[in-house]
Amino acid sequence: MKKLRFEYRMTITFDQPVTDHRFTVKCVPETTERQRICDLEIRVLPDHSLSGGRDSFGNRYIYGNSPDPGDRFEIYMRGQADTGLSCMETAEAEHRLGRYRYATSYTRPGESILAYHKELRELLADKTDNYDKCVTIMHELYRMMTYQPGVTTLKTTAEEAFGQRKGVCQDYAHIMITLCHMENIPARYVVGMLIGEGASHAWVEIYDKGGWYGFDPTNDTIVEADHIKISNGRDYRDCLINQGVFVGNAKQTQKIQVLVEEIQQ
Amino acid sequence: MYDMDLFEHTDTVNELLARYGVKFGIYKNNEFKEQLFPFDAIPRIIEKDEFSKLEKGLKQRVMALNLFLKDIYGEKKIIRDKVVPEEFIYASSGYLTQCEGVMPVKGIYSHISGIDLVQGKNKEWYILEDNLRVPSGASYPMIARELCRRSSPRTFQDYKLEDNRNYAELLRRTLDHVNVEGHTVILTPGRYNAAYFEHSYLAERTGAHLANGHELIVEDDKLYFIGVEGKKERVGAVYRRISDEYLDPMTFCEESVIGIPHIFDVYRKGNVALLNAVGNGIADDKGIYYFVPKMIKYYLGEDPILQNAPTYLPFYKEDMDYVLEHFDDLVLKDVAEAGGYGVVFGSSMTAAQKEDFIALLKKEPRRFIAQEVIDFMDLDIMEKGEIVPRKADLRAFVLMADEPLVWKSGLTRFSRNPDSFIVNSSQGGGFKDTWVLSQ
Repeated sequence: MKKLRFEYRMTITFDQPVTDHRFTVKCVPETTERQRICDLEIRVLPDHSLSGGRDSFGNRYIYGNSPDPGDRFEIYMRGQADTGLSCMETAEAEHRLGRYRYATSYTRPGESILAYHKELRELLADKTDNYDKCVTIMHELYRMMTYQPGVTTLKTTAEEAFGQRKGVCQDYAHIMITLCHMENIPARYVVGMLIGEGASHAWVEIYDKGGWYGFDPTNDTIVEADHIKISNGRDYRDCLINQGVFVGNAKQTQKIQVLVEEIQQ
Repeated sequence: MYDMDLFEHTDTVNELLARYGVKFGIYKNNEFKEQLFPFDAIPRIIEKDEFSKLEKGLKQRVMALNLFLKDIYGEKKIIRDKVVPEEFIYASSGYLTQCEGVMPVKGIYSHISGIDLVQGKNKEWYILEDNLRVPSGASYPMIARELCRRSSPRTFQDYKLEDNRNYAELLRRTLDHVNVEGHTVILTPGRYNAAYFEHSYLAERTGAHLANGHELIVEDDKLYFIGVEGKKERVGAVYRRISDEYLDPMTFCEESVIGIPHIFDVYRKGNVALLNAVGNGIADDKGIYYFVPKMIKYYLGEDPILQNAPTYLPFYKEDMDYVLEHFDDLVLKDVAEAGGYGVVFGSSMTAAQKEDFIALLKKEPRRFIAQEVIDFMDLDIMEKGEIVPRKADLRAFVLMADEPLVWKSGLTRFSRNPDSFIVNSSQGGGFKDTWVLSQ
């Protein structure tokens, strides 16, 4: 167990004013079996009209619009989290988890993953639990891949990233989900924050015997008390922190700053 | 036995239809072309008793399909009980994960269903497919009847038949039943849509506003219509004639410019009714079609009143064996295609084509269904002053208001090509009025 303080800031600047900006922001960490969130404060600007909702994956979101011309969009969030309260989250009935076993456009295997899966199979042959299989999958993936920013984009699929054996957390997560599907293990994409300073992070939760367990393939580690979860879905797109449409031919620049530090007691 | 008075007016009626803009728009080679939807004056006539059996069967089928949709986006008991294998749900493009847990107003998913049937030479009716997304076509027999009554009033005194001009009332009743409070809108993608005539005609007949995506906006968790003077008025029900993927760029296709950002969020909260519900594509998927008789049994505990065309799922081994053995007698359909595309007859393939197709079938068995070729009962049509037989189907309309309502008419489409079994209007066919006798 740890007590963490977190701060998240996203700023989008437009090089010329846009109007009718409509946005959906999925950045509301919630209390679960694994983490307790307190003193949460969220600010979204412009705040002309804001409403809240919960999506089909159970993630809370804020949506709204700003009709007036503006050149800046900002999300600021801070709070505290008690983490590592449990190693798992209780899942819904197994027959309802089907959507976490089938590919999306991000997690559809191609030649390179299919070929690799054949090798991996031998290493998994003596393991029966999903959890144990996933420990092996994670270690192997970590060994195979090189962490390298800039070689993949937000649109890169698992197959494309694995083909070049390089990528960032989003790619690691998509590849691990793809491999889990091939082993018939329900797996989902998680967006959150990791202790330290930087950007938001992505990892994976896998299903085993009634629960969801967190695996962070980018860091080759089981999720315990260093991670704060924000949202989950089938892939990157289901967990987009910010989405928007607007009128105007502006260029946008996005900046994200995340700070998570332990509170010493 | 034919009523020549009515037929003499065929050309007049077709001219009037053209003048009213009863056209079918299609895209071919990236070009938009409007073509007339030729009307044939010889009606399809269905006896009272026969229609009442159809009516019972159609209600039963649509009720089961509604229960299926509620189950799939909720409890998923039909998967748990292994009546429908889960791959037929999750690998289908009709299943929309964003609809999980979203309950439409009053639990109604398919408000307007277009069920396509054919009648075999044995007089037996078979269901060909269910259309639960945006089925079109009701306006054509409506306006044709109207014009025929004008040009040949005597015919309609001699025959005792059900008046089909009440479709607008049935539709209005269906819309009002789920309207949460506010205006009723028919949402059209615009005049370049194949069914634009229908959108405007139904708006006029039901007294609903005809609007495009730019005239509707979401604010403070509600949907508003922007009136002529810029005044915002609350909308309670939207009969949307645009498909799911273009409905809301914030939830579905990001590039959509005809949709309404955040309409799905308002819908999710129950603050507006959308007709039909979002995600219905899973129920009219060609692979799911096979399971509809099983659904009727599963959800209603009844035997199906109307039969499917005999269908095989190569997904099951024994069906695959049957399909390979009787390949030449079957018609094969790609479950991902619609509008008469992706349909091939085993007997019309060359040896090489057959070999390729079978290889594909073995590789992706879930992608195809195979059906017995039904020996359709032909209907007479007038072709250059002569009466000739042609293949035809019937699209029946079932509306779900406080109770299921079956429109006592329907769209009869026929193929102009004497050798074709495909009667879809996007492949150039004509239509007839459908008369249901009232005594």
